[in-house]
Order: sequence, then structure tokens, then C-alpha cells
Amino acid sequence: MTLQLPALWGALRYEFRMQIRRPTVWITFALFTLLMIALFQHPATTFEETYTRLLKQESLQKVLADWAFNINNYLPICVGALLAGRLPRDRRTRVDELFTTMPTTRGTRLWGKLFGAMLATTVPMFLIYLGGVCFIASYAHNLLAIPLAFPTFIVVALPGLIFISAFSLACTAFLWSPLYQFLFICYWYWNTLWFHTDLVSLSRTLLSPIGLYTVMGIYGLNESSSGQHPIHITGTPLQAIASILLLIATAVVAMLALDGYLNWRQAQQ
Amino acid sequence: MQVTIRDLTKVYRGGVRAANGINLTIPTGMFGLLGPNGAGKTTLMRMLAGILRPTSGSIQVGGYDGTTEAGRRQIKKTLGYLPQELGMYPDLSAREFLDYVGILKGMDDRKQRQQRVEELLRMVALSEVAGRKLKTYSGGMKRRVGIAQALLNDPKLLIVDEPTAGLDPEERIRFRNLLSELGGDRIVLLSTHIVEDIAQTCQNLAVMKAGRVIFQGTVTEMLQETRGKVWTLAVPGGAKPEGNFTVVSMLNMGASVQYRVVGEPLPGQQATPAEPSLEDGYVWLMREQGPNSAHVLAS
Amino acid sequence: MPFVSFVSLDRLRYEVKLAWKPLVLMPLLLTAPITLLVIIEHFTRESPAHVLLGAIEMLLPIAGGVLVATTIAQDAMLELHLSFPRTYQRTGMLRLLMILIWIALLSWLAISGDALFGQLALPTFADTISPIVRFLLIQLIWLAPLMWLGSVGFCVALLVKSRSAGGALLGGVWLLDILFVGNIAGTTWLRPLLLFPTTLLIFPANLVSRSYFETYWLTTRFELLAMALVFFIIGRLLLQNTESLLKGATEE
Ligand SMILES: Nc1ncnc2c1ncn2[C@@H]1O[C@H](COP(=O)(O)OP(=O)(O)OP(=O)(O)O)[C@@H](O)[C@H]1O
Ligand SMILES: [Mg+2]
Repeated sequence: MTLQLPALWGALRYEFRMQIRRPTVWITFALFTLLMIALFQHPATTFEETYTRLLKQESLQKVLADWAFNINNYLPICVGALLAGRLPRDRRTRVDELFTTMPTTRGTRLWGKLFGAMLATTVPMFLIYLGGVCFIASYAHNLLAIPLAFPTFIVVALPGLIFISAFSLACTAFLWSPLYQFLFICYWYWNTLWFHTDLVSLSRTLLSPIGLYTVMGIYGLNESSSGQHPIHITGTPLQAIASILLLIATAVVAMLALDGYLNWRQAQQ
Repeated sequence: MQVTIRDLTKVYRGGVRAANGINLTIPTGMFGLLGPNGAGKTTLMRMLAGILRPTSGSIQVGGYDGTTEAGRRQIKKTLGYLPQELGMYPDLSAREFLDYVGILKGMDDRKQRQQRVEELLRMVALSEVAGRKLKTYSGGMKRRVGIAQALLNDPKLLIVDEPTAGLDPEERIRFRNLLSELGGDRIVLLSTHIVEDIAQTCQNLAVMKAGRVIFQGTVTEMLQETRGKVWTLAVPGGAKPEGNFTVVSMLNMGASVQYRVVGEPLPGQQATPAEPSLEDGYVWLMREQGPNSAHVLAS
Repeated sequence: MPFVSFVSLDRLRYEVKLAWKPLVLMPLLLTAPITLLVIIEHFTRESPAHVLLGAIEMLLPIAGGVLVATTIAQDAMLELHLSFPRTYQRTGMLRLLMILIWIALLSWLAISGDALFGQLALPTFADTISPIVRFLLIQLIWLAPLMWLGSVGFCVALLVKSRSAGGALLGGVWLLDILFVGNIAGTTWLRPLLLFPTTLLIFPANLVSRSYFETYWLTTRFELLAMALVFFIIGRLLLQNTESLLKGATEE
């Protein structure tokens, strides 16, 4: 898999535009936001109540990390499911045949597709996150929350998003996409059960796409801080970095496997 | 039977006026529909087939009103339609696909239906491969399956949207003849970009451009209209001739190049009048009419 | 007798032939994680009965919803089908019904097996209800979420006209409904959205009081069914809009 940078940038921009222009992406997240707003209406756990209480106990950075962690518990299910359609779409519209005749390598295109489509789908998710950050900034009377929000999101959410996006692309090469979506939904539900300590869960290992080790290791979230569920395990900064690297490395492996698989299938034809 | 279309207009969402006050009378027999890309041929055919609702205007097919739900239902019973882009279920065989389409067309007697399917498979020369899945078919083979499905219910109104695109010459001629045969006692509405197909088979034709019908009549009438506009020019040395005309073809004759043009050559050029073909007629019509795209409403 | 010919056996044979792969594969694939979970839970303190109940109440309905959304959102032959005298609306409804009946059958078998092996705990006051009513109430466990997710999948597919978005939305709703079950149950006007109370709220059911059962389970089951009916009607109306269907076929 050789990479050509200008081509990668071109593919990335193309995929980004294609995905961000789709009304369905925005409709999906809009409906999701409405539902979230409705769900936060319970008097004991309104967004305002939860985060003003947290702000009294913890630093602003920790609170932001908690919010990013919360967001990263729910919204990636949409990102993963939405990305499941990208590769089959190329096959159906036959642009993949067109692209194979071009000088760019397939690997370059796949990476462009991964980052372009993922970033585009992450934009509405990020906006929802940012909406919450604005409220937190107003509760804390601290505008510093806004610039702090960006690195926090990147560190907490992005590695997991790269991880699931890579799998959403790779698996739909050989799985019927609704079937993959269904399995992904099940998998993600399993991920969100991380606080059930007696349940074996991948999300309590370093390979945790919800960013459990990152929030514990880098931001020091623990039992006293987290909003919904107390975290009973502890993580070190080293573990956090290992977790991030492991997620990205797994994504790379998945993409390499996808490239290999597509090459193999092309040779089979 | 006869199809009468009056003031038919279709405005797509977004304001594209794909059909703009179309008036047409289509008698029994073959009827050709010509027009550049985006002229609105498919739109017109979809409205006739009851797939799209017209924005305004009327469609009368036989005794049925194509603008009411009940009328459309009746029309569909005697309709055969071959869309421009035919999607099929890749995991069915041709035989199964046709059988399934037969069911959807309301052919409930199994024996009769299966007999008809075999008959049509023979007609389009697919009997040998009829058991293979459609995803293993070539583009032309799929077209033929599409043609067979349109004929299943022995339609009184047959609408085929660019049916010969992608067929090999032999198959194209076979298909052309088949359509002519069918056109004996029913309406066959054929849209195509291959002018020759229409010249060979159709009595009547209409030419569309930008959502309007800019010509309707017989092939002879169209040729008549073009008479005196087609010329051959012999230009020595290969310099491109100038003038208010469209070059249809050029033939390199060694020392000079012979051009066939439609339009008005300059007085000084050595132009000899030529016998027009239908293609020349088409070029002439396109020259005469205004801009090349559907009108977009200012919103 | 138009209806009889509309569901002729030949017709059904083809519909099954076109759809059987996902219909069989999804539930089949479901069994793998469930078995795994049951084994895991066996070694922890949770009861396998809980996992099985969750599978019937939560997993089979979402499988049904995703199947409905996928099937309705696209049809390879759409344009041609719209020109047939048998309408596409009917075909769509037939496919919808087929999926729902198939998942219903699986759910019914599963819950009957569950009950047969004594894994299904019922409220103590259930002994006083007549067996038929009890049987029907048991079926409500899966029927209500299945109909709700199925009808939402139906509407969403027609609204967004995209397979991936349909799955994403259904998955999102499903997940939030599970994670925020406390909030939903605790807010009166949200309570009708309580999709899975059997697994998440009133398990094991034999410890539940009658009023709690009625507020959080019985009423919400019927509210879900009523909402499902509304969604089905909306979906049926959306299916009428062939033009948008045709346009959707080229998007995604
Ligand atoms: N669903 C649609 N929504 C909006 N505009 C459309 C739609 N379908 C077609 N159009 C527009 O309507 C016009 C006529 O399209 P139509 O497909 O009828 O042309 P055509 O004559 O069949 O062209 P071709 O020869 O390329 O098949 C075009 O300008 C096209 O862009
Ligand atoms: Mg066309």
C-alpha cells in the first residue's frame, strides 16, 4: 500500500464533500439531538443540574472530558452505521470500476475515503458536543471552555472514531451492510455497558473505542467525577497513550486487510 | 387505439420544467421520439406509463384518462414499459425474473404465464441461458430480458426508452424488426438517439427539445422540410470551410476534403445540393431551435 | 377477489426467494453473541434468563426494524415496478408484513421456549388472570417493541431514503432508549417511549407490584402499539409518493 499525498488529499476532500452534503446525515443527527434533549428532561438529571454539580466538584477540563466521554458513548453508533454505506455505494454506482482505472492506488483512495467520510460524519457529532460545551461554559462563566473543547474532543473521541470507521469500511466489503449495521449496533451496546464490572467487555480494555482509558489516564476521571456512572477502575497516562495508539494501530490493520482483500477479490474476478 | 396528449407539463421539484406544454397525437403503429440529452423524453414516457404525475395537462390513452388514478390503473393493464435504466434482481434467473414480472402484471394463471415466458425467452434468444442468474448476464443480455418483460402481457401500448442502446448490430436489427412487427396492431412508442432506427421503422415521429415538441409528423414530412438545406462542399487542401452551417460528415478524398453540411453555405463556396437524410433533418431542427436545456424557473 | 390473487403462492415464493438470506442470517447471527453472553453471565451473578429475555425483547425487534428499513428503502426494479398494475405500495406492504410475521414467529417460539423451561418469571398476580389473557400479555413483551421499531423503520426508510441512515437512526434510538431508561421511566410524558421495560425495569417480574406493573409495563405496551399504528399509517401515506421514491433510488 503506497500513499500518494496529493491524491490522498484529493480523495479526502471528495469523500468529505460527498458525505457532508447528504441531507440524511444531518437529519439523522438532528433527530438524535432532539431525542437527547428530550431524554435530558428528567428533573434529577437535566444537563444543567448534572454539569453545574460537576463543575462545583471538579476542574473545567475534567468536566469537559466527562462530557466528551458521554457524547462518545452514544453518538458513534450513528457515525459507524452511517459509514457502513460508503463502500457498497461505490460498488452500486460503479464508481469503483472507474477509480480502478486511475493512477491513484486503491490504498490512497481507501485512506481518503476513511478520513473524508469519517470527518464529515463527525462534524454534526462535534457540533452537538460543542452545543453542550457552550452550556458548560455558561454555567462555569468561563469562556476558556471553548478552546479547551477542541483538544479534549480530539483526544477522547477521535481515536475511537477512527477505529470504528475503519471497521465500518472494512467489514462492509464482505458483509451485507444492514447486517453489519445490526452487528455494529449490538457491539456498540455492549461497549456502553462498560460500567457493569461483572460483564466481560472490550470497552474496559485498552481497546476501548469510547475512550475509557483516555479519560481516566489523561484527564483523571474517576469515581467521584463521572456524571452517570462511577468509574471503578483506574488508568495511568501511559495506559491512555497505549490505548490511543492501539486503537489507531488496529484501524490501520483493518484498512490494510481491506486493501488486501479488495486486491485479492479483484484478482479472483 | 390512440394516445392524445394535451398541454402536458411537468415541473420537477427544484423547478426543472422537463415537459413544457406538450401536444402530441400518437396513432397505432410505430412512433419515434427523438431529442438531445435532457430533452424530456424519459419524463414524457414516465408520465405516459403512469409513473410520474403530470403537473398539468391531460393524457388520454384509448378511452382512459391518464390523469386519474383509476384511469392509470386501466392503462397499466395494457402497458409494456422498458425503462432507460432497468434494474433487476441479480439473484434471480431470467426465467424466474420474467415469471415474477408476469405475476406483478396480473397474469395469475401459472400455466399460461410460464408458457408465455418460454415463448418470449425464445423470441429474444435467451432460452439457452435462461436458468443462469441475472448477475452473470452481459449488458446486452440484460437489455433483452428487459425487452422480453415489456412484452409479457401482450401490451396494447408499448413504451420503450432507448431499447437498442448497448445491443450488437445484429441484435439491434432483430429487435428493430420485432418492434415493427409488433407495431402492426398496437402503439409502440420508441425513444432513441439512433436516428437510423427510426428511419428504418417508424411512420411517425416527434422531435423534442428542452421540454417541447418541436416537430411532429411523418418521416417524409421531416425530409421535406430539410430539402434544400443539405449540401456537399469540396474544399481543397483540408482548410475548414466557414459559414452558417453544421458539418455532418467529412470525407477525405486525397487532394480535397468533401464536407456534408446542413445550413446555408456562403455564396462563393462550391456547394451542390444533396438529398437529405433523417439525420440531416434532425440536425436542421436542432439548429433552428433555441437553447439546449430545460428551462429552470426563477424561484 | 383481488386480495387472494395478490398473495398467491407463486408470488410469495418469489418474495421469500428475494428476501430469505437476510431474514435467516440476521436472527442466526444473533444467536452467536447471545450464546456467548449467556455463557459469560453464567459465570457471573446475572441469570441467563435475563439475557434471553433481553434478546427477545430488545435484539429481535431491532433486527426486525433494520430489516424493514433496508427492504423498504430500496428496490432494484422500482421504476419498472411502478408501471405494473399490481402496485408497488402493495408489494412494499407485503414485504413489510413478511418481515414482521417472520420475526414475530421467531419471537413467539423463543418466548414459548423460555416459558416452557420455566425461565420466564411472571408477576405473582398473574396466576389470577385467565390463561388466554396471560398468553396474550406474554406476547406483548416482544410485540410492542417489534411493532414500534418496525413502524419507525418503515417511516424513517421512506423519509431519509437511505439504508445507512435508516440503520443509524434506529440504532441510535434503540441505544438511547436503553441507556436512558431511568430518565424515560421517570418523566411522565416520555414514558410512552419506554421500549424495553420487561428486561430493564421489572426484571425479575415476580417481585413487581401490580400498580408498578400497570404504570410501567401494561400502559406503555399499549401506548407503543398505538404509536406504531400511527407510524404505519404515516408510512403507508409516504409510500404513496412514488415520485420521491423514484428520486430516492438515485440518492444514498
Ligand atoms: N427526478 C428529477 N428531478 C429533477 N430534474 C429531473 C429529474 N429527472 C429529470 N430531470 C431533468 O429533466 C430534464 C429532462 O430529463 P429526461 O430524463 O426526461 O431527458 P431525456 O430526454 O430522457 O434525456 P436522455 O436522452 O439523456 O435520456 C433534464 O433537464 C433533467 O435534468
Ligand atoms: Mg432519457
